[in-house]
Amino acid sequence: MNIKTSTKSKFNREYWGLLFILPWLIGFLVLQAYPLIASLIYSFTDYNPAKHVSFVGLQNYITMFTKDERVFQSLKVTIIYAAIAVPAKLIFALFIAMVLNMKLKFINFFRTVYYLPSIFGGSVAVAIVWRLLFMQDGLVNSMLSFLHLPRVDWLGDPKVALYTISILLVWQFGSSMVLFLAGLKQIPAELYEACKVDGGGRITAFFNITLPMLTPIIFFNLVMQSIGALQDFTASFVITNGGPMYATYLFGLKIYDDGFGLMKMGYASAMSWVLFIIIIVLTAVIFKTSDSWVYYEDGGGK
Amino acid sequence: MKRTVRAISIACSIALSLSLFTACGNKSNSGSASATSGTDKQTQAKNVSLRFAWWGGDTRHKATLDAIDAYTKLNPNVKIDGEYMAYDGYEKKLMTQFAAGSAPDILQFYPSWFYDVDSSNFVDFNKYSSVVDLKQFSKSVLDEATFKGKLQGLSGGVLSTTVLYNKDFFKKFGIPENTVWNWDNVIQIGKEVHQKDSNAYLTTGDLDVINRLWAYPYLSQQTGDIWIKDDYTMAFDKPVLVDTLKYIQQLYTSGTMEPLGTTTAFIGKMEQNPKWVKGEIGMVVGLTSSLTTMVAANPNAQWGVAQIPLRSDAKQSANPVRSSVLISANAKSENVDESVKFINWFMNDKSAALIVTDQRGTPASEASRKVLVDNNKINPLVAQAMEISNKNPGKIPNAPSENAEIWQINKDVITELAYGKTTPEQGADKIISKYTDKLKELKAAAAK
Repeated sequence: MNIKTSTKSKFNREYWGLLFILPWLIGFLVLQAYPLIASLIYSFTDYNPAKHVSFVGLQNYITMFTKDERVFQSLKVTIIYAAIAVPAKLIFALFIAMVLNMKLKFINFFRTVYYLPSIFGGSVAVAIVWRLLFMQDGLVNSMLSFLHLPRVDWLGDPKVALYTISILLVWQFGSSMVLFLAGLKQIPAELYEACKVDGGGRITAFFNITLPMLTPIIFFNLVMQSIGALQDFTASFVITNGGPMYATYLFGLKIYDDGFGLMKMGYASAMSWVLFIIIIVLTAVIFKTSDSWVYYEDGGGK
Repeated sequence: MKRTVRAISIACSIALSLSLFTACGNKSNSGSASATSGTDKQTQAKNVSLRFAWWGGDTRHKATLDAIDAYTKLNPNVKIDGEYMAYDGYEKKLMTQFAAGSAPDILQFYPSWFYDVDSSNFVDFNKYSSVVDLKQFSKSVLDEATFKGKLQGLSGGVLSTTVLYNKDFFKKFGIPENTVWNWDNVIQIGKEVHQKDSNAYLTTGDLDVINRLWAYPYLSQQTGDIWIKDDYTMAFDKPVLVDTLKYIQQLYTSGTMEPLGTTTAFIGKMEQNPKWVKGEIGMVVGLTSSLTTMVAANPNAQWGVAQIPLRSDAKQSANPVRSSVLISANAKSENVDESVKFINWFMNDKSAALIVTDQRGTPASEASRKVLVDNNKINPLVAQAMEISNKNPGKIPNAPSENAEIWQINKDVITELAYGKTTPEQGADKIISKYTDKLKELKAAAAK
């Protein structure tokens, strides 16, 4: 009798727990697990949503690496984009975080203001503003000519356009910055005092205390931002449409063009999976190297 | 025990999440069902809510929304939501909606897109001839909208290609207004203009325009044919293509055409180009349906229209007079009858014609056109441009000639030319070799 009630209450508890996570569980199953599995299946078909579907085996993957020259071009562009934008963004975010960590008047106001770009950042509206700022007769060029500097074809020159787009990503530094700021606040003040007592200056303190203590946050930001950058789409879609000469043709846009433009949903799914694998490999590499450069105060659970 | 509990729990949650699906499904049905329920037996008309999607510029949006307002005042039981946007991206959105089963009830469409969507999605207007007055439309216009024997759309208007020029610009640079454009004098005058003022260009065009309204007619006037034949072979040979690409290259090297890089921000919306707004561009080769929007972008200037460039030995003008858009009805809609009723009003009714005017080109419906002519409602520039084109209309291209992937191959080569990364010879080789594969693929896909 006793045993029975205890199993019953145990059953109830487990059941209740599941009920509580149900909103998440449904979201996960419907919005993540299902599309993930469906896209894997589609990647082995010639699925065209407006017309037909039939199984084609590995054909999509073979076409991708043997026939479609744009795949390598856009993969190259995407990796360069991530390699420029992510470090630049982290450095910038850390810099702003350090400024905002100072004891200034109205500091909370500044913190809010500096976070704003991240709220707008991913939106189409800001991408359009970016286009207007950097177009041939745009505000940036007007300012350059006002200062008697040569004009730059920010969006029309294939050598420059990718950098212009990268700046947009760097500008959305807010979320990384907030994390850095939290990390900075966590660093015990006595470490800096000890450094001062030993005669260390600000630069010594930065490289020997601030950076090492922030490595877990740098690590987290690096992983999240790299994933985000490799999947980026809006900037190249709205500002340059992948041009000029595919110089800003990010992989996300390539997938979109094939999937929704040419209705080759099977092929686009296959490309998504290639991107997914690239991201997993890259993340694994960053994790692997983290042992040698990330410092955990509590030993990192080892 | 634990395992069974887990199994039960998972089963429960799956069941629950499935019920979420069905709940959603029911909801979307019940939305329209509740709008229609209970009224069937009553005398009053049932309430319906329709979605109407179109692309266009601001003036078309406004006119169409006004027409919807007028219709819903006449038919208070009908509610119509407009879903409108610029051309760029419209097709992708629509195709996705078809795939997801959420396509609008009434939609603006383009004849060559019929190849990409299953026919079962479209209402055959032949079956609704008692509701829609088909006698108002000419045979050629109906033929263009007929696909596999079904009349899948009604022509929203006819259009052609024209030169729209800025009279003030022409005066400033001493270009006679009665210039008859052939391809050579475009470059000659364009060069002079850019030499006089380095900010000014005789003309501009985004990639679509260069491909469709410059390269296409330049080549087709020589061959007298369309671009790709019905059997999926090229309707031209290499020398003509090289010559065409040489011409495109010259447009850029001579400073006739605004550099391609600065136009990329305005694909499909040339009227937003600041140079056009400021009057630093002399003319565009454009579709008559876009005339009012282009003119509205710079209302202070004086405007004129002219025949598109035509070579003296042209075998055809390569300037087809054709439907600008079709208005189709979604066969999978729950309110097909109401959609068709609205389309008939929108196309043929006099009061509708006076509101919509020539925003989708000169009306194809005889009745609507007559009303507009009688009331002087047709934009005189558009009327004049259509008159010029009607004197010497070109062949109407088939679907393969306007295939998006074929166009993309052209556009890639044109871009490389404009940036000086390839020669016309290399470009032509590239186009021909890529066509060979792509045409085979398209032919196989069409046979499916």
